Amino acid sequence: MTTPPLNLLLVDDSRIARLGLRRQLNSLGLELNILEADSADAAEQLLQQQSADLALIDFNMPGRDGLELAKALKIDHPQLRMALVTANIQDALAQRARQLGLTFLPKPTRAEQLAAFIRPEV
Amino acid sequence: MELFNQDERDLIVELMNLGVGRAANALSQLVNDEILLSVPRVDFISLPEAQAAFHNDLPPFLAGVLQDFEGFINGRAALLFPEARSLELVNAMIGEALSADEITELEQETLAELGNIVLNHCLATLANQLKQQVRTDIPKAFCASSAELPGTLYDSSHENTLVMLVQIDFSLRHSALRGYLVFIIDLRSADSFIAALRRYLAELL
Repeated sequence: MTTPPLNLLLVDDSRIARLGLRRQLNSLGLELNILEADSADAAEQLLQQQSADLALIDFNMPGRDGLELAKALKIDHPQLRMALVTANIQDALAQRARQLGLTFLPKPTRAEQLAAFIRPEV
Repeated sequence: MELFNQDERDLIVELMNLGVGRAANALSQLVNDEILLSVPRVDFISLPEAQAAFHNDLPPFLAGVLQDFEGFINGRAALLFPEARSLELVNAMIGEALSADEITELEQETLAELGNIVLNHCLATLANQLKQQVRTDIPKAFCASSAELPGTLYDSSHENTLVMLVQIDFSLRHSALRGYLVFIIDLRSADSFIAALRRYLAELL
């Protein structure tokens, strides 16, 4: 039985960060449909039009930060699995992310960490 | 009177060493090359001394990234490179399959993301080790001459500003490239910084 493609949303204000993540995701050889948003607001608007299974969310963005977005998405899209992707590797931030039920992925991400987040059952 | 005693200075150097080491590990992943690091040189200097150091030590034209931070310490951090060499870093990070024009177009954004990662690793390591928290702002890429740098890094009207100048030399295996890290610390936040250092030392000693 083939696995259906997963819709994965990248939320990061940095085009470079999104470009890097997209390349890394493509290298995993998984069936992914990658969506992109450059802010919390843009992510919410996108998710009104398209559904997503997974989201990789930057923490430090202009406007609402990644944790604020994740809190909102947990209410509106409770099925969405989310990871906070950030270079801010402070223990306190990682703890807040995990308390929200998010996976914490330090930037730069490692392919095996992304793969484990996307397909934890494998 | 010195603001930090010798133990506190040694601890700051050690924590910066740890932070820069973690930042180098992150940088190594980004450019897919080994990073060789010198021991960070940490100096605590006044604004006029900082201005002289920039003039003497830095190349005439710089590309860099600024990031403000606040929490147990407040200030501004900067990652600086010789401007003429910054495209090499950008090329190493994203050059694959991109044209020279595209690389030039993406230079500022790439430097901002690079600075975001390096500066956050340093600041977060400092905060984690001292069991403190620090918030970082959005990184901003810039280009400036060394003469313009002081005006970019700090408001010269803040006479009491202390500059913690952290200088590191690092090289990629295929391209010697000197980078500088600068932390401008607002003296008004020095009390909480010193208190955190002393708590750490009290547990250690």
